[in-house]
Amino acid sequence: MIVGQQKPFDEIWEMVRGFKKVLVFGCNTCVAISHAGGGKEAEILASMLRMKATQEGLDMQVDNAAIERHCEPEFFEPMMEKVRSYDLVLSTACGVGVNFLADRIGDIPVYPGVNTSFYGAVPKAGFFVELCGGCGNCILHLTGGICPVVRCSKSLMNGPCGGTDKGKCEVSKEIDCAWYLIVERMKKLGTIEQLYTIQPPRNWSTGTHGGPRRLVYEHIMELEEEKKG
Amino acid sequence: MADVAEETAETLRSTPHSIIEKPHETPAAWEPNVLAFACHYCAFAAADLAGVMRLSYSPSVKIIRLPCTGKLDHIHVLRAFEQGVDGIFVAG
Amino acid sequence: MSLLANSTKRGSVLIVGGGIGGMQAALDLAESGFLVHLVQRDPSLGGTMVMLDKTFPTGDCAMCMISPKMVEAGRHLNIKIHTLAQVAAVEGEEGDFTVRIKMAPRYVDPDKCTGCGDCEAKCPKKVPSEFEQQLGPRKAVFSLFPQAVPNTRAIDSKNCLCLTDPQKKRCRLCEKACKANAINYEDQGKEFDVHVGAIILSPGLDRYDARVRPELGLGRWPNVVSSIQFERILSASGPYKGVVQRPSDQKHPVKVAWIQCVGSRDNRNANPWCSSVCCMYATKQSIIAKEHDKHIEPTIFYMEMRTFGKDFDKYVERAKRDYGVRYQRAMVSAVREEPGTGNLVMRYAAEDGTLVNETFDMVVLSVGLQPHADALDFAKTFGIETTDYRFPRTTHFNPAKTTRQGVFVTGTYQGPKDIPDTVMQGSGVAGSVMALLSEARGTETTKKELPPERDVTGEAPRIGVFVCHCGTNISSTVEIDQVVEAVKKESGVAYVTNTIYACAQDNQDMIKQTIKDQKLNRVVIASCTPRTHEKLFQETIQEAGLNKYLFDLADIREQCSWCHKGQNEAATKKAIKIVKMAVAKSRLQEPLKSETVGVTPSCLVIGGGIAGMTSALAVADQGFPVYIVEKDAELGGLARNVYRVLDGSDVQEFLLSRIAAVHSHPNITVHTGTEVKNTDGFVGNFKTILTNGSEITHGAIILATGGVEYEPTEYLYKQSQQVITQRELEKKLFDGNLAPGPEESYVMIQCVGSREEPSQYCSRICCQDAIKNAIAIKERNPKAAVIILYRDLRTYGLREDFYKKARDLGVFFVRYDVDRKPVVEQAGGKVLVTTWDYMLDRELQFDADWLVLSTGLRPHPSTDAVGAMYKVTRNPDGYYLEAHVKLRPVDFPSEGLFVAGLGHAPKNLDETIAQSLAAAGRAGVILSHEKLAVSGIIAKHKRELCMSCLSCLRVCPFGSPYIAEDGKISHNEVKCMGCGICAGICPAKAFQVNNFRDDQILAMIDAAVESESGVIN
Repeated sequence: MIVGQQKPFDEIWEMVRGFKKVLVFGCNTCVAISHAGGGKEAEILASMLRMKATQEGLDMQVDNAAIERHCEPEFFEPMMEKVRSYDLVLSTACGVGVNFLADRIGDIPVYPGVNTSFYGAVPKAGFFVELCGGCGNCILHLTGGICPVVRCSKSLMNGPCGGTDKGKCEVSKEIDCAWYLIVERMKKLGTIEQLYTIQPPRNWSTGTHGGPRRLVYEHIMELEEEKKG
Repeated sequence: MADVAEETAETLRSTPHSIIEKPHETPAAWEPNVLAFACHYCAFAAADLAGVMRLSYSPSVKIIRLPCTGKLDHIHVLRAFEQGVDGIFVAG
Repeated sequence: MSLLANSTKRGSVLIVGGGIGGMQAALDLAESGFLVHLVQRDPSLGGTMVMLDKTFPTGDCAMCMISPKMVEAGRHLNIKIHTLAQVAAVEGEEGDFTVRIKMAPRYVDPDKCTGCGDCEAKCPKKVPSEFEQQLGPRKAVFSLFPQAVPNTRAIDSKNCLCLTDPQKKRCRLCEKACKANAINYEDQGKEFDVHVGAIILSPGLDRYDARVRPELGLGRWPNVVSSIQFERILSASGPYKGVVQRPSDQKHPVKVAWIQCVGSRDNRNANPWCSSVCCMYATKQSIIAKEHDKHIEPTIFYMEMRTFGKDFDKYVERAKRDYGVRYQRAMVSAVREEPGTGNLVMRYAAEDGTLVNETFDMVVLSVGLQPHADALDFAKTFGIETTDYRFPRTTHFNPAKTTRQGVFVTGTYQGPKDIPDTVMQGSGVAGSVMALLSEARGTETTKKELPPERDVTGEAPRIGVFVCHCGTNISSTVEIDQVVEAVKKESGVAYVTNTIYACAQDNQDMIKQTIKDQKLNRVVIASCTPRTHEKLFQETIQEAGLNKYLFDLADIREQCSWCHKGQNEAATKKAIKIVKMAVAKSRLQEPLKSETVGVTPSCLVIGGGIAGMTSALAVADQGFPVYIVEKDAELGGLARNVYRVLDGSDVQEFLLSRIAAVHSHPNITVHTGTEVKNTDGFVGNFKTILTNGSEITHGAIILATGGVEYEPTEYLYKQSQQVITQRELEKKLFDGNLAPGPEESYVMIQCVGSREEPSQYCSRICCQDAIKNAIAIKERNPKAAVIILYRDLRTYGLREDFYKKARDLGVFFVRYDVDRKPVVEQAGGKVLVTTWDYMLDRELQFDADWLVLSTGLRPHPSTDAVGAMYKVTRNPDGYYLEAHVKLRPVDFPSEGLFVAGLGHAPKNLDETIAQSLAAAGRAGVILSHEKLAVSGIIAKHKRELCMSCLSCLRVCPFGSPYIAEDGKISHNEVKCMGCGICAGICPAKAFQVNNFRDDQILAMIDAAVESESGVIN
């Protein structure tokens, strides 16, 4: 799931203070689960902005709304007329949602209220942890299910660096050394021998280094095209 | 310790003036309008006991009973502030 | 013949004593189909607990915990409360007693009195308050304490100016003040008979009067107070409003001393037993005093720190570490006042024998507990035998049964104990009585019949507002007419009026009639607190055909008029706001249906030890099928290795009789060699699959998974043949009939594997095990030497006798410290034990033939897995964590699950039995219901809004959200207690709590801040 974190209030305020009519627009999927940008957080943020405006003596209208997902047009199209009546849309969706909405609206600014943090899991309430880098070239089957791309601070592919220390990373004692975890896990799985195979230099072009990525399922796209005739 | 104090002072000096809110003048005889959110089981009972014991506090304090302060939502607090409440007391 | 006898059993119970134990028994019995007569000598329920400020070891407020119980007991349809009453005579026998109750005159008519307190305000006569322990005054017409139940005032005839006047002409001010005409100077009291099937005695204990020992200075030096006085001093509602100050000069004391064992463990002018609770309450008082005033330096003078209960040792550690409480092991011989300063000089012998003088600002005497002065007459009235110490005679295996059939005891009256043990015994004795009278269940209880509910759906709000004067309680501060006028203009308000006493019977009838006449569909009453009066008024509107959730109470007394006396304008303004807030909420109220769920009237018991079997038998005797699941191949558990208890009772004989009773009981099915494989469901409706394939449906679960003994790795155990455990010694003594030789020496080491990391808790049983075995050795051969090396000898309560007996028999006790543990070496045919003697201040060595290790207890290894399966929390030591340490000692937060025995905490056999009966009693309350009503105030889950983020599932304390078969979150409303934590955390706002919905709270907020015309808030 995409994990996001609301931007510091002061930063948001600097973004929006020049506008007269602002819509704080929440997204009720990933960022809602990470308590950053769902309808509830949009309502809270709108309230705080209104108060800030009052304190600064600014005449500013701040409303809030939320939809299921910002990253698919059908959800926001019915609201487009309303959305367009604002000077600024402050989206609390992830970066995907902000981009997508901004592309669609075009002539009204769409600003981000949330920092999109990472792809993560939720081991317990209020605790989010990054487990995948979205690199587009998964090797978890070779590393005991532990991703060295994001869980190793240096994204090393062939074992730990010299900074590994009693299972911890030299970057911080709070971070587990991913390669220590990989070795322990693979011992348990009985696949430790696999580690003797040296991984060749990695092709990073499937990651964010090769330009914007897209994924196309033509057979699904065709169905919609057909319907439209 | 001295370093910390110096750092704090430096931070304050370099903070843009606009972020620090100017204190407002309070009119004479002004009483803050305070809203309390109280858990039915403890703080609300304590407020009752205050009455039974005839303890005096400002009449501008009004109490809203919740089944548990865990029920309190951010928006309750924000709504009250937006409506002009001066202080909120959450007790549970 | 027996059938005929059975059919005459009565479905009612007499309970004598309305403290926390008696109330618990009363509530459990009344909730499970029995009519209860609760006789209380004081004018209010409450007993000792209501006098306490906070409780150990959690620091919870005592009154906050007990007050809802009192209100519940006071309002219960099937609990008849007789206060200022005593039992004069008892006739008949088990199943059918006739009891004569004698009620002293109250001089206030409870049918007319509304509890407003106008009389008390006007009464000119002040006398020292018994409740405040003479530290503050009360009036001659009084309520024992502010939260008293019943709330009816009483006149103290010895001090009332009118009643002490032969002509009854003087004063009469209370009569004039009472607008309800409730004062009756001619009250003669009354005598009447009740017929009951069983009698439960819970009169509690008195406190030792420390004035008997003038050398300690109570009543002589003003700054020496008793511990119960100190409770009142600490109490925020006490005479000093929670400010710790000296009675003599109101100065804030710095050095405060507690003297332990005052009136306890002493044969001269005092009581020989240990009072069980003083070590803990002194620790608590020192912590709370320090919290109230950080300058206080507490010192506790003690002989032995008897903190044997669950998490007690950790509490003392915290007191030392976080609060700087000083524990000084010393006997204090005298306290004298320093002339002129009010300070107190204490003379005591330090452990090495040197005499020390130390000055304190204040001294607290930790007074012990003892039977009431009239204990023998009391016992005689009920025809029960007593011990030499005037406690009722009971046995180790039947701690609640007296020598008279059908007469039970509970609480401290049976022996000194703390609140959870008292509550436990209260539920336990209720369980025993449920079993005794099971066939008469439901024969004498009454049920409230209500008219059908009027359907108000679709109607616009027609709110009726009734503003109460409460005599002059509200109207002397709040201008009622202004409130009425202001509220009239509110939208949705159809009718507004005022009333002198909203709660008086005639006004209740008026309210009902008005609802009908004005076609009201919502009601707001502006009077007093919902905590005491909401249920009453809800019933009123139900009687007029409205759903009870179409009601709201605006508290303009406790939270307005009483706090703002003399500020009439501001108070009136606030009262208007409070009523408008209630009206705003009322507009959005909807009728709520209280759902019900059926109950499968059978019980699953996990664990077939003494706890499991006792629970099973007590539930089965109530007529419900019981399934015992035991992991081992046979029943018996840990008790299979125990032969005797401290008083010599034969455990094996008892165990065999229990096993036989279980096997022959028609209602009990035993699955041995079996475990629970899978479990599902909720209160009243559980489904369990066992590893043997059996499938069981049941309404309640008792976890009695037990404990195991710690297997030592220290002190040469398993390395030397001469090093054994107490249990192994016990087997040799009682099973093998070991005869100790004349020159044989036994050295015992206590606290092996207890009271130090990683098991920082007392195992509670080991001191008694050691003393039991030591006595057996000495009795068989007085010449054998027995030396017990101990840290604190914890023969609490009436067990103290056996400590004395062991000393009298020549058992030698040497204290050791955890930092200086005994050293053990093998020296030829002997075990050489070296220890430091603090009294002699030198090293001692013993050549032991036998080194006996007193090993502690651990939770059974299965506790964790069973706990995880049932989603019940374990404490850091691995024991199940009960729902509430004080008041729900056998419940879990999830309804329908109960705990008994060693899985909960280490305890002695009699305590295990009491807790097991309690679990059976609590289970009986559920199983006796055909249907369980679900509260209307619960969280409602809107599945269409939910995105199954699991926040609710993870934070709900009651486990009501769950992942349904479709893989998404659902909500089990039966488990929901309506706290709304889910609603607070849900990012999708998919949860709303009925009657506390966000729109309702926001409407109240808006109403609270909405400005009146021309007034700037």
